[in-house]
Amino acid sequence: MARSSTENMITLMSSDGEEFMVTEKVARECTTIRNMLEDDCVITNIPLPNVTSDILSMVIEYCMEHVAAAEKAAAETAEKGSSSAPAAAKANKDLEEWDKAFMNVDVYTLCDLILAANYLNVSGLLDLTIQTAANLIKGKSPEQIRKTFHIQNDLSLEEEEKIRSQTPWAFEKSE
Amino acid sequence: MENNLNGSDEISGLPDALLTHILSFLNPREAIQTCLLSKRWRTTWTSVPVLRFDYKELVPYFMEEWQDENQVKFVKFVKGVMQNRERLSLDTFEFLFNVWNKHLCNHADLLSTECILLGLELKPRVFSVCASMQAIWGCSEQIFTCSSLQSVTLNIKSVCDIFDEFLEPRAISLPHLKILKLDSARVNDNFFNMLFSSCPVLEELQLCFCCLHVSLVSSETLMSLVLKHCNIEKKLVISSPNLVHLDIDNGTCDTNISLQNMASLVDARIQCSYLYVNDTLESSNRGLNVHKVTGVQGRSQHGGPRGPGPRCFLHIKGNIMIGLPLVNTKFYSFPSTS
Repeated sequence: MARSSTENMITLMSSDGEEFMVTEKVARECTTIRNMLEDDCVITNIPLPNVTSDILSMVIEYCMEHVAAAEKAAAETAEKGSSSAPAAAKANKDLEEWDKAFMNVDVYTLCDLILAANYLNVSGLLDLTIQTAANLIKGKSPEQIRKTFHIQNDLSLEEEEKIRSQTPWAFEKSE
Repeated sequence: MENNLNGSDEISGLPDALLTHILSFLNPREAIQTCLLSKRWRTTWTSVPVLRFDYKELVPYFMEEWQDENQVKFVKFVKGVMQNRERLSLDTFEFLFNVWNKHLCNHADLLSTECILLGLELKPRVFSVCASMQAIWGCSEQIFTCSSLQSVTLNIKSVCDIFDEFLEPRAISLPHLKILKLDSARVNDNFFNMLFSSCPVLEELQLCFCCLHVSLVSSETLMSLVLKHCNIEKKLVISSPNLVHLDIDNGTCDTNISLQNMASLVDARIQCSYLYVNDTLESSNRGLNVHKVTGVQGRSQHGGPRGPGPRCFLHIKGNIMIGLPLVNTKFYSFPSTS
């Protein structure tokens, strides 16, 4: 982080006009931005019309944390010649814990993060958010899932019966 | 957040590709049941790119595994999913019918083959099957000629406790296969010859609890070879110039392995009773550097400090050097206990 002053800075602009200054390294965590930088290396100001400022600040927070963790691991490897397995395992676990805490958001924010991670192509964040959404569905009845995600049931009882009768094998329970 | 103003929920507003991505992390039963959420979700499950059918995971729904009726329900469920989904190609197809072999029923066998064939029709990239020998034999031709496969795992549940038939498809043609993992298969030289000549990008081969009636593993592309708890029936020569990782763990089995042409080897862990290293190894630029040899150790069958079967642990690691008297060193001591 000490070198950051000499690093290239990129300005990211959210849909609501807020500007975020980040190091090029952090910006490059987003494959979409990395591709832009590779096409045009003098670019310093990138408008992101699909991402609001509160979501963008979260994406940047995620990227910064992951860049810092990778740098720390690289520094340790350089220092000792090879990374010690227990230290690497602990660092991984710490990062996992951080991710877990980071995912403590409401479902609206979660969905916005999925869209932003997909648009900016941050594969780690996309995996994390998608997995989190899947975990919210796992083991729940349709009614509980609707409640979790505020889904309006626009199926009539007849339609629901029809679906059940069309795919009986999907809802079959053993005795 | 703006989406929420018109009363629609956020998750249903996600594009199909993201919704199906979310459903890929669920078991197929949970994924299908989302069709009852709302109109938006009615057909979403039909294009999920990952299908993992795991009997053990679905078993709570089907109750006791040994009930024939539940086994048939499981395979019928798989068939239902396969026949009702979109005809879009799959990324991953897993069919894990991991029932203790004595409890497998014949009817489920036939249906299993049908399920596996339906999976192959959708051209998956990753393919993993655990099924009875009969079920896999019924479609081995199709498995070994399915050109989309990049990773194949076959776990063969034999009906008898001993291996009887060789895994011997008539032809192999897997142009994209990188990883092959076999569990409890019986293979011969013919299979290996076909495999290495018909899989031009094969990098990783892993055999566990297999029976190897094979004398030669020779591949130009192989980078990782793992043999675990295999019954190696004859002297095995391994000759793979690009092999980086070698792991042979045969416990106390009496095996006879010869390494040749191992110029790229950097990480090897070999535990067996006999090891020969051929001259070709020394004539290559780098020889073997024995990093750690945990010599003859005894281990009692009953856990005592010394038992009847001393064996050799050989741990080769690091850069490879010439001139170590590996060829003349006997890294074994394995008196016959009979």
